[in-house]
Amino acid sequence: MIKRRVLNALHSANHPELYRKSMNTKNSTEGFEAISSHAVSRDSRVVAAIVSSYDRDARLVREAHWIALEQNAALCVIIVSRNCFTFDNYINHQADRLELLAKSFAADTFRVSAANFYKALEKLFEAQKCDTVIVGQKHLFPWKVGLTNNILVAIRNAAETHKARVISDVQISNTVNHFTWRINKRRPWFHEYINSSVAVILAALLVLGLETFIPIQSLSIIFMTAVIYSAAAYGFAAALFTSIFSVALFDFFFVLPRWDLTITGPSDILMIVVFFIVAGITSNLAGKLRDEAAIAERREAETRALFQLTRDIATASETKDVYRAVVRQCDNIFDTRSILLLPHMQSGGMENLKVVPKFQPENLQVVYPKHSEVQQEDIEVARWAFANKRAAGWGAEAFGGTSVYFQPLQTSDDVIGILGLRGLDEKTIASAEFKRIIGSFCRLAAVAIERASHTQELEDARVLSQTASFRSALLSSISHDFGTPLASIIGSASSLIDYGEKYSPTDTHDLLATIMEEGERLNRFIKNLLQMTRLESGAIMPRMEWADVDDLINTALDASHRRLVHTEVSVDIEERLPLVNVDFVLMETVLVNLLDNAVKYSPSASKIHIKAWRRDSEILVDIIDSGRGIGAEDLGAVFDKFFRVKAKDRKIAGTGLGLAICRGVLESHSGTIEALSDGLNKGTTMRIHLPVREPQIENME
Amino acid sequence: MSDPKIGGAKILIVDDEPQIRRFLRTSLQAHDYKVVEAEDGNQALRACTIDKPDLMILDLGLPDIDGLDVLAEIRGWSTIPIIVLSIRADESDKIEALDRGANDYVTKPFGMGELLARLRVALRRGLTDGGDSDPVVTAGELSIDLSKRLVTLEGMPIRLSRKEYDLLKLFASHPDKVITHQQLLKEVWGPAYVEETQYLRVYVGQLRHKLEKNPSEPCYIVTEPGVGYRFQTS
Repeated sequence: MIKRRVLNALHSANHPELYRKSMNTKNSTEGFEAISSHAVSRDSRVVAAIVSSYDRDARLVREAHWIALEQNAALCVIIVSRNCFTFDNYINHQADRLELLAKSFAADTFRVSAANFYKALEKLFEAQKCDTVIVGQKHLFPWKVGLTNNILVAIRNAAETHKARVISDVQISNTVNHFTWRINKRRPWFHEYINSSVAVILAALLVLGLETFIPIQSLSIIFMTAVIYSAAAYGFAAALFTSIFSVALFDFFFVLPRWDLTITGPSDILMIVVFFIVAGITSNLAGKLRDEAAIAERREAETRALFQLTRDIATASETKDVYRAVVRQCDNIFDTRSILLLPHMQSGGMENLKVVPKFQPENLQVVYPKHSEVQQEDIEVARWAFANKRAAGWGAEAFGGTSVYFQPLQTSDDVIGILGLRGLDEKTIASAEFKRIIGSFCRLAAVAIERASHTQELEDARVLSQTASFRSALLSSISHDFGTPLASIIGSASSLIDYGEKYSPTDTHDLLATIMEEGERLNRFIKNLLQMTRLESGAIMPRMEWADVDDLINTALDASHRRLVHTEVSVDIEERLPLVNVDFVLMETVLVNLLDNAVKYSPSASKIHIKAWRRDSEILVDIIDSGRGIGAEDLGAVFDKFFRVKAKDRKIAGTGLGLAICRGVLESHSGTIEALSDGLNKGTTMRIHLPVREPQIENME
Repeated sequence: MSDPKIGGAKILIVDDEPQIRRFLRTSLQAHDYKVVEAEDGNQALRACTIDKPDLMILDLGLPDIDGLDVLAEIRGWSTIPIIVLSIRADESDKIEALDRGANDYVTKPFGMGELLARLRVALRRGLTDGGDSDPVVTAGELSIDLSKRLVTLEGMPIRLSRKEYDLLKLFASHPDKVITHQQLLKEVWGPAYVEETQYLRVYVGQLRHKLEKNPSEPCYIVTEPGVGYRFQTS
């Protein structure tokens, strides 16, 4: 390990002969040879940062990382070491730190010595698809002012021949060492002077009170508090004013001779000088504090906003909610009106599964807010940003002429959409601060949107597979329901045709009866299927007429008398029940279906009770059986189409349409139907509700 | 039909549809079979032990136990011939049924003649299974002497390759019974080859060329679509 370090050091310090001695085989230019041999990834673009192993360049590496992220490019950091024997250890330590930092950004790092720098530069442009070079203008070789410019010019020239661009004036957010003239610029200027004057006058009053006890020379210190106060609160300008005012007051009122402003002696001058120094230091410190507080506050606001976004996203259940959360939080953070553009996906379950055309830039369109006005050319810019995976539009380098700033939403694999920000000022967009926040924001948003769309796709796929399995269950059920009677009919008929002479008259009658009954059963199925289809398509228009409930029930019992041979039916109809306004045929179907169910789901030789009665403004018809009943969880579901199929109930023949038809018919009569059951094996009551409408008797007479 | 034992056989009908049971009962009784009925799997298992039927007609779609399970259960302790009735056109069900020991299957809807023919074949085999089987199998003009490894067609010996003979022998030892692709492949080529149905297509084609008058309308080795082959003796 140590040996390596030494070798590295030798290498970086450009001691070719020593290096060669120790390595024997390797060439000292390995550093930049590596640039060409080590292909970062020849397909993706590269942002190269050229840094010297100098303290502040760590910041440059960070900036370069952000720029590379923003452009979706690989980052390549070239660390230039200088020839300086005296500081070898320190320089190498710095270079190591830079390298570590760069590696932590998944960048490729190369160390070259200053002497080999030009060759390395050539290699960089030849071997890599480097299209952006980032140089910290001021910090590159600061000890050689003339050379710095030469190197910059060299980089510029090399970049130009290879059509790359050079960013040399990277704004490194620098909060140190600026002189705080005024701390709070939002207040009116006179405010701080009035307050400072008040402070000075208070100090003067205090001095006046203490004058009799303490020698006046020691009391001048009290004015210092006023100076410190105004420096801390208002900045250097106010502090200067306070200093002069304090000295003037002190001179005028307290220093002998009184009532005189002339500066007498070195003590006054010393006092003014000390006041000024204190004012300068205090205001500077206060300014820094204020700045840091402001930064902390801003960061906190951003963090809060990002946190808010995460929370909104976490609670969003649908893709639409995620879109809304992203746009709303973007508006909050950047104080803008943002729009979200995503590649168009066809709406509706199955089409969503077509993944192929999803990532075409031409499919990009505004998804939220739905009806925002966006110029066609802005959309074109957004498409460009989408295709090139770079920010574009207002304030960005590409297509600065438009009114919207477009930032790609980047996940680890791909750009999934574009966030457009309107009404930002150019300075904000240019700031590193903005780039950092919009970067994190968009990555977060991208992941959220991608996750939401995956969830959606999963849900669609689930629904699709459910539909498919439902369809196959339905198909097998229908084939069973049609196949069974057909099997009986064909079997009986073939039996009669082939072996008719062998059968006794009773056998023959039996087989013929089977054919007849099974034919009727088939007919019922087909009628039910047709009726359901017609009900659903609205082809059935109820022909309303006034009917007697008694009459209805008797007709229905007549129609199903064959099914009721083994069943005892009792009927109880309340007296003087009003007429009902129904389609007689449809209502008869309902009753026949209900009776059929009652028989089907009851043991043979059981009882069915029919009861018709009036309750308030309704007429109720109950069909009560003592059959197997319905579980509480299924009471509502039995009226769903093909419920039987879903319930995998194949014990008893039927299409699962009968009750669905009943519900459909009653809905067209402004009535309802409900199933009541105390539980399994406790019988079922099917209750029909029909509204009472009094017929207009006078018309009849 | 000439065999009196077949005529008076007792047949267990297992089907949950009363209509199907009814016409089967009427038809079978008219053909002098005795008929026992069961409407679900449990009744079937009970009837199988108590009534000791000679043959069982089993519907696969039963309300309580899956017909396939009933089949497996019965095969655990009985060799009674079983004909499976299935509404399902699903070939995998038929293969499953045959693999679990069904002797034959009939797909609903079916003609009574077809069912009666299968019934006779299954009953005859059920009767012969116990005794020594005849080493010479004949089908029309074709005769296969299993003891001499001799195959003759219209009295003329036919030359067969080893695998062709193995295949034909397997067919001949299960006359009139469906044998699934998998069973054939496993017996003749080995368990590793059960998916290689193309072997079967080739060898069955070769056999048909050597044995059949018109290989495209075979009358000895008949294709059961999606399931396997049946060696037809009549």
